[in-house]
Formats: sequence, structure tokens, C-alpha cells
Amino acid sequence: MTAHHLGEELVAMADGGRGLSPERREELAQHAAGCAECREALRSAAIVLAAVDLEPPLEPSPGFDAALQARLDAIDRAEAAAAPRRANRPSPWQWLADLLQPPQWALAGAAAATIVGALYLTLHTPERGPVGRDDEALAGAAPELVNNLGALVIAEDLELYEELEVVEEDLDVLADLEVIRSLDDAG
Amino acid sequence: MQVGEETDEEARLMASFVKTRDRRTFEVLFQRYRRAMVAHAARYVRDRARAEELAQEIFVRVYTTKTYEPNARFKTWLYRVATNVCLNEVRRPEHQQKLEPIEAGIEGRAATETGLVARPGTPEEAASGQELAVHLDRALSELPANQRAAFLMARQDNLSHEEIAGALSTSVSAVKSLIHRALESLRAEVDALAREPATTSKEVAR
Repeated sequence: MTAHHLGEELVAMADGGRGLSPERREELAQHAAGCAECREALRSAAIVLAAVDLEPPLEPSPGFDAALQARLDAIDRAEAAAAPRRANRPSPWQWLADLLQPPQWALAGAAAATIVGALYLTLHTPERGPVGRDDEALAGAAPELVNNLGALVIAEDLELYEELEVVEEDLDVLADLEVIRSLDDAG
Repeated sequence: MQVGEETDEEARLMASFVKTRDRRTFEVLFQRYRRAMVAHAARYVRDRARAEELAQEIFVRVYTTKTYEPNARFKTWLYRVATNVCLNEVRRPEHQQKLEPIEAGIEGRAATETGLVARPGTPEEAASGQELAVHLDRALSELPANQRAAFLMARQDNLSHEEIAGALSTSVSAVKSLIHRALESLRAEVDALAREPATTSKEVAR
């Protein structure tokens, strides 16, 4: 197999010039018209691309979907089982929950923008479970909450939120309190 | 991810799922990508059962995602997650040997339907198309995993070079190089096959 002159543009040329500018495509086509090595390279490249393009898609085995659903069900059950355990722990946020009536606040209009600008809470706990809550971090964050009493969103049950990071633009998430569990990166 | 990049319907679905945890929303995305994720995993581990397990792990990761920013194509994000799962797998010690070609490879009709190879008038000619498929499949399995993945993502998954670069955590120029090298290896296989004597095809046709 003698060397061709198209370099990394071979795949684009074999693909009908897709991804190349019309000028470049014309330039390379002109070259190939007079170059046997390049024509040969284009021919074999086109065969490869066509064969790969026509490869039939792999079909998952019959039990694939059901197996995944079973795993997801197990994940949901584990998540549900963990939540009430967390709820039974005494909440360091209880003083705040008592202070603010009712426990759930809806965001309203301009107030929302104010909260969002001011509310950046990050509570990191070293690990999940009944122990490991970083009370220092909580105490440090509390004054910020107090400063924004006018328009504040709190959760019904704050023990559910072991790690809480409020993202500025995500007003919908703030409004939907039941959904805020723990917010962390997927990783 | 850049702010202002195009979002799409699937990105909005994923964002909705993360908020609502509605399994039916997840199901829509799952149905669209279940085959693609098995195929992608099979680029890294040719054992079919293990590829399906990896595909399931990918979907578990999607399902348990807690934060998702819909500021790019969902597909881009999915393939990044998928590639991470697969690379974690192949870095384990038991995967440091050569890969075996997967059982269900390229069907023999591929080359003959392109028009580049003459339509089979005889069983021998049809068999040579089969031979091409088998040889290409083996050549693919012998490529380094990142070359194979980059090449097949470009050809089969409708991903741009930028998206492949994101999935493989590398540069666009590296992706172009990977694709080019994969193509050169596969071309060499086609050329080698073309130079083989014709007698082999009679035996294959039987």
C-alpha cells in the first residue's frame, strides 16, 4: 500500500467531502484526478466507511430492560428507606423552622431575585449517616439565612439535605421543595 | 460546557427528570439510547454480557444524577458519562489482554450493497463480502480502544469531533488523529484482502 497525499483529510474526502470547505474539496479532488495512489486510498477508505456504516446495531438481550428496572427499583427503595431515618434525627435547623411560619415559603416575583442573589449555602457533611454533620459550617451559614428573612425558602424537613448547594439560576428547583434532596455532582 | 451552547429536547427531558424523578421521563431517554450504550460499551469490552452490564451501569449513573445543567446536547453529556464508565472498566487488570471479535459482527452484505463491490452473481462473490466483514471486524477489535471508540463514535453515533473530544477528555486534533489512524489500519486490512488469492472464497461459500 503506497502512501497517499491526503493525510487526515482522507476520511472527509472518502465521505463525499463532508466537513471540508468547497474550495478544499475541489482542490483535493483535482489532485486525486491525477494521482493513482490517492484514488486507491479513497477507494479503500470508502469501502471501510460503507461497511462500518451498514453494520447492524447490537440488540440488547431480552432481559436487559427488566434487569435495569429492577436495579432502579432497588435504588428507589434504598433512597426511600434512608429518608425517614434522617427525618427522625433532631434538626439543628429546628430553631429556624420554628421562627418562620409557615414552614414552606413560595417564591414571589422580585423577592425571588433577591434571594437568589443572596442565598448561596453550601453545607458539607463529611459522610452520609447519622453522624458527621458539621455543626460549625451550619452555624456559620445561619446568619445568612437570618439576613434574608424577607424572602426565604426552606425545606419542610431540613434533615433531608445533607449537602445543599443552591444554584443561582435554578428558581424552579427552589420552588419545588420536595425535590431538593441532596444536590451533588453526578461525578 | 459553555453557556449559550444549544440545548435540545433531550436535555430538557433530563433536567425535568432530575427535578421530578419521574421514571417515565427517564424511560424516554432510556429507550432512545439503550442500543447505543450497549454498542458503545462493546467497543471497550467485547464480552457481550459484560458490555450489557456496563451499559446498565451507565444508565444507573444517569438515573442517580443529582445535578444536570441543560446547556449542551444531552447526547454529549451521556457519551462522556458512558466513556468514563467504560474506561474505568478497561483500566482494571483483567482487561489488559487482546480483545476477541464480538460474535455478531458486520454482516456480509455490507460491502456488496455499496456499489463499490460488484453485486454478487455467484455464491463466491457473496462470500467475499462476508469475508470483508469478518476481516474488518477483526481489524476493528485489534485497534487500540481509543482509536476504535473515536472512529466508531464519528461514524455511527453522529457525534462531532468536539463532542468526541469531550467524551474522551482529549483535544479535537487528537480525535482527528485517532480517527485517521483507525482508518489507515482498516484500509490496510481491505487492501490485504484484495490481494489474497480467490480460491479461499470457494471454501467459504460451502
